Amino acid sequence: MKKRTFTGLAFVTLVACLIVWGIPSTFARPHEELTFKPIEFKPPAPEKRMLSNGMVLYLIEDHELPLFNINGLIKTGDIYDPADKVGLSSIFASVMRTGGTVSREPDALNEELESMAASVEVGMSREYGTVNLSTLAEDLEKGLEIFADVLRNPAFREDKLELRKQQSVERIRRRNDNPIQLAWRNFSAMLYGTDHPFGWYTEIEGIESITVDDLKAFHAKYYHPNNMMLAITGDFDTETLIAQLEKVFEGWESADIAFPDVPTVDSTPAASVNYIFKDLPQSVMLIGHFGIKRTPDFPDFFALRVMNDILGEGGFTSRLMKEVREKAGLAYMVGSIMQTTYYTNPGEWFAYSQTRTEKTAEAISLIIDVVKGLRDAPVPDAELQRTKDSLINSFVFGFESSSQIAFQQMMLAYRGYAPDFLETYTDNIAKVTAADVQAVAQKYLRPDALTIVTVGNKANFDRSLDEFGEVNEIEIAQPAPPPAEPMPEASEGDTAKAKEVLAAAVDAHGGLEKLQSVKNIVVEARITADSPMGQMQVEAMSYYLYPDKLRQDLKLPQMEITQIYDGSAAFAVTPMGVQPFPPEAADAFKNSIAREPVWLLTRLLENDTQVQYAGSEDVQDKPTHILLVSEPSGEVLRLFISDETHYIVKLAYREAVQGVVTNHETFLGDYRDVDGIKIAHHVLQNADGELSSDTSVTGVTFNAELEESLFQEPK
Amino acid sequence: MKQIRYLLILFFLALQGIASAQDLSDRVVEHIFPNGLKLLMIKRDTSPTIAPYILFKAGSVDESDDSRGIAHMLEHMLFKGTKSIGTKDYEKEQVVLAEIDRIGDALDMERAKGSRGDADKIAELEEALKAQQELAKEWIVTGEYTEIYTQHGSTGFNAGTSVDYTIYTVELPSNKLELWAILESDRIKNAVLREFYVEREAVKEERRMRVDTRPGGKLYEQFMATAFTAHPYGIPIIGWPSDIAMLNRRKAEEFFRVHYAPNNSVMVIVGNIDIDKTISLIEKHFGDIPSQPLPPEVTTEELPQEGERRVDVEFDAEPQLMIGYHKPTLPHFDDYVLDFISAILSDGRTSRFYKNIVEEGIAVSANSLNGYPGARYDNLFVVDATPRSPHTTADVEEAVYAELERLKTEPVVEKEFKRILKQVDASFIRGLSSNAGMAQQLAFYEGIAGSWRYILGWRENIYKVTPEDIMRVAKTYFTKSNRTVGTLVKKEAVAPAGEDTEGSE
Repeated sequence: MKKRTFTGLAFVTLVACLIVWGIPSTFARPHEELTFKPIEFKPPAPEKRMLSNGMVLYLIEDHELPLFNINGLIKTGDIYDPADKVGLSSIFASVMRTGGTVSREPDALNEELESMAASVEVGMSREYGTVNLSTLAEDLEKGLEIFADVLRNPAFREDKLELRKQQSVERIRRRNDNPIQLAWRNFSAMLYGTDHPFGWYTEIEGIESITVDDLKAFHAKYYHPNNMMLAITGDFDTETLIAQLEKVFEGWESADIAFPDVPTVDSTPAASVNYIFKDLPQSVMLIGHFGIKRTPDFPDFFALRVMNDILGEGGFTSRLMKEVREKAGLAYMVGSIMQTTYYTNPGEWFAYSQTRTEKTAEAISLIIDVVKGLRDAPVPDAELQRTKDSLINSFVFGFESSSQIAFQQMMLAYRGYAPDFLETYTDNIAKVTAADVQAVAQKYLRPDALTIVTVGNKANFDRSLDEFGEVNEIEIAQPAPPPAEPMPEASEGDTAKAKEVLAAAVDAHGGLEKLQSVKNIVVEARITADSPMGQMQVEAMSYYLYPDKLRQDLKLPQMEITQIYDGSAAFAVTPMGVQPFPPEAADAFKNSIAREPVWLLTRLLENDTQVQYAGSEDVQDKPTHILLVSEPSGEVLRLFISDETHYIVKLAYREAVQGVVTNHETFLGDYRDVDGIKIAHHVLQNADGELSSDTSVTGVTFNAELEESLFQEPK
Repeated sequence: MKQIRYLLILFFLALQGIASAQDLSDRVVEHIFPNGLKLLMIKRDTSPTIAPYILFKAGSVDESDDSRGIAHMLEHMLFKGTKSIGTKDYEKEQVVLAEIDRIGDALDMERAKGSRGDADKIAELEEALKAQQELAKEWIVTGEYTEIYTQHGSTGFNAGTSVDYTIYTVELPSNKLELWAILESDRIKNAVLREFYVEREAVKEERRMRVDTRPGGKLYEQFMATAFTAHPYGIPIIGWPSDIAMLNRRKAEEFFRVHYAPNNSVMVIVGNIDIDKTISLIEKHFGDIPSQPLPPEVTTEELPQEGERRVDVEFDAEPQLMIGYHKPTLPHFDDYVLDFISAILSDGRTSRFYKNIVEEGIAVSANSLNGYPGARYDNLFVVDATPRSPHTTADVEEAVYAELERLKTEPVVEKEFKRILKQVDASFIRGLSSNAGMAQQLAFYEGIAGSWRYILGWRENIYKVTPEDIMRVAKTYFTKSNRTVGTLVKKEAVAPAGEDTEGSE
């Protein structure tokens, strides 16, 4: 059963210092006189074991500190998200931990772990899932029991799923804030298209559709002992631990898993130049194409490792850093990354830079030149030697801690690397020649077929991006509208009290029968409104046609404008012509009809609309009752009804336009009788606490003769 | 130098341990050389690697008004080599460097005139500068200093500048200790700040990346500038753009000469070393650097805040919030109490912010941090939070204040106390598991708190905190008049309309 995966690895590192410039320097270079004793180091080798249920373990006992760690790997990943529920696997991972277990409420689980300064965390990547335990050695047994409980019995409680979904939606709303994120999302989507798990990103609709059952199904499918490996390190005794693991996982059966097919992409690179507007003083640029899909037999790996280090992965000494930053001062962050570890798809290769707007094209073109340079000429010997030395000499940093060593072994096995990969690593790097580097550059770098994504403000670019190819301008959709604030849970008492307050209000405004008779309302008013140009006097004639049509003729100081909502769309008729409003604005018109007091009261009393009583509050020093009403948009409308007059004296609601939320308050006063119905003749409108308009009503007519054409788009 | 972190040090996360406290005090070996250089060592043989760090007590607070940003700029420049590294012939090179300085100065002066500057003269000087920079290329070997480290297997070769100090970090295979001693002592003795004006452009890009294009960076900068009106903690480490534009080699050399003294630094080496051999090796390479009189500490004091300060930052991004309260720095006892309070508020899923703000859906994140932006002088207790729409920053503020008020009136219960003390002890032990982590901790506390033993005393003091202390401290500092509130406010970007705004072609 015992199997040593690698043993007796000795790192012998001798560095030949080749840095000779041929010119006698006036200053000594004593570092060149040094010789280095070879390092003889035998890193601890993980012991590989298998539990009776098929779970594979990589174990290293390490008694330096009284700590205990498990890093687990599960064969699953984002790649198995269903196309209509993108984000499922990462939400699954969060809620597997935050949702508690069948026997442990979330709060109890958190309390138990944190009171022993331990943690259990669950994560998700493209091609695998993770689960970790970290605890003091004294709490090992309790830690193991909780770890197994989370793995085996997650409860996925509904409220924690809801919270996580809300957080995902908020992330979607914020995803254009950071220009790097914005560029990256579009870069992978350009390569893979949005139909492929490597290219898609979460959208609000998919997130909203995720249910507890989805999470349970995901768990049932992938979380089995034979589908996971654990790297275990720290202050423990192996045989005792194995027995403890057998115990906590007792009865957890292995299962056959049918992994869904992951679409594979046609990785022939195709050139495209893409531009996204963001008004910033610095552009973000990503330039690249597909990376390389890992195959078990991957002979080019070592030459690629050297080539990528020289190009842009080698930190400070890479060519991109040297040319773009150190010599040209065109960036602070610049480099490249080639993904070669994915086994289902090739991943991405890209060079990146952030460069001031007025040097954008210059930086792109310099980066492309550096890429071409690796194809066009062999790497000079000194640079090649330096890079190989660097990789060989720093290899020891892969073995700094036992947890790093055990995790690395497990990961190499998971990805199917050759068993002697580490033992032969330094030798294989040493063998790489300049011709090998040039050959892999020519084979894998395709400067003729680059996908370029630039985020910035082209108005200030040094040159047009046309020189790199036809520019595709990507319009970034507005962030999703913010989620509606949910109605609180109602109690029976709340609902009964609400009905009572409502009935009194209907009576005070004229009685149900009277209110029901109103089919349209025409209001003449003078409005003082705040506008970007300052205060403005507007004369307004508004026509409300129940249930869903509205027209406003507005006489502004400079011109006359008509706004029409025809029941589905809204437009503005201006001296410059007819312009449609965005759909969100049309919804705002619709909502304003629904909030017209006459119909609001009728609707609430007539229908069994959900109304709740939410206590009392003073409005303008007078006591009122607060009613909560669910609006068609899903938002909550607050109605403040005077305890004295039973009139509606205030409305409060939120509205989202283009992702921006505004808190509105409407104060209704100066109620007067019009044909037996009480109508407010003075209306103050606040937006986010500031006065936005002051309206004096000068005339009200009910059930006027209105032409249908009033509410239609003019031809 | 590469990914320079601002090293906004949070102590609480950092340190700490029970049996390990004893363990740590046994393992640290101190040595002070005659020139005032202090060396701290921990022998740790887990792997054949070492983490040698050097910290200079020279941060952005030590700058003068005419050279804001120079501490950070100098940190970049110290990667450009020495009289023997990075050059083919320093004697010849320095003639060109002097000429570059002369033209660069004239150019900066002319540009600083703004619209009254002479455009022809600027163009002429730019040409002249370019010509000299071309000449210098004949002698300069770009990146050589870094390449030597890289070739020898370095990892984490970097540096960071904070308001309080500058730290130079690297990890190497343990057989490269002397190489490190040679290279580091060479740069202290013989640094040549070549390629200055090109690097200044890279620093401007760094500023754009960290501040001008980042919503959080923008808010942080304005928030600090609002909270501190007298003390230099209010000035950004990287400098204001117009200050960066006037930095030059002369100012950098001056800062270097005044502040980079052996008696103003701490050296820490953790890893697979022989203690005695290490001491003699350091003596050999650093022993001849003379000690020198040190400049005075910052004497400007922030006045007590007399009224709430608020700042809005408009940006094309969703809202964020920062709230800060002035409080004394370490080793004032209240600073320990605030470390404790910070743990109660935002450490883990049992913390109050997480349970009452994040899990309630008011914010997607809410964190407290004690000790910003530095620790040499009185600083801030900061709360930062990201609202979840439809909740606004005002909603989050209200929820945060409710938690701070609770601290004033409700004594913290025993269960909460126990949990936090256990976490303190565990993080102490975990902190001992990495060479680089230990080197960072020792250097920081030796340099900033005056002794690495602060780490041991910290745990003792945390254990002394009582529920009454927490209520008293909350009442003392969490007052409206003592707070600064910064909010990031969404400003819609206006996309240029149509094709007629195509860039200059």
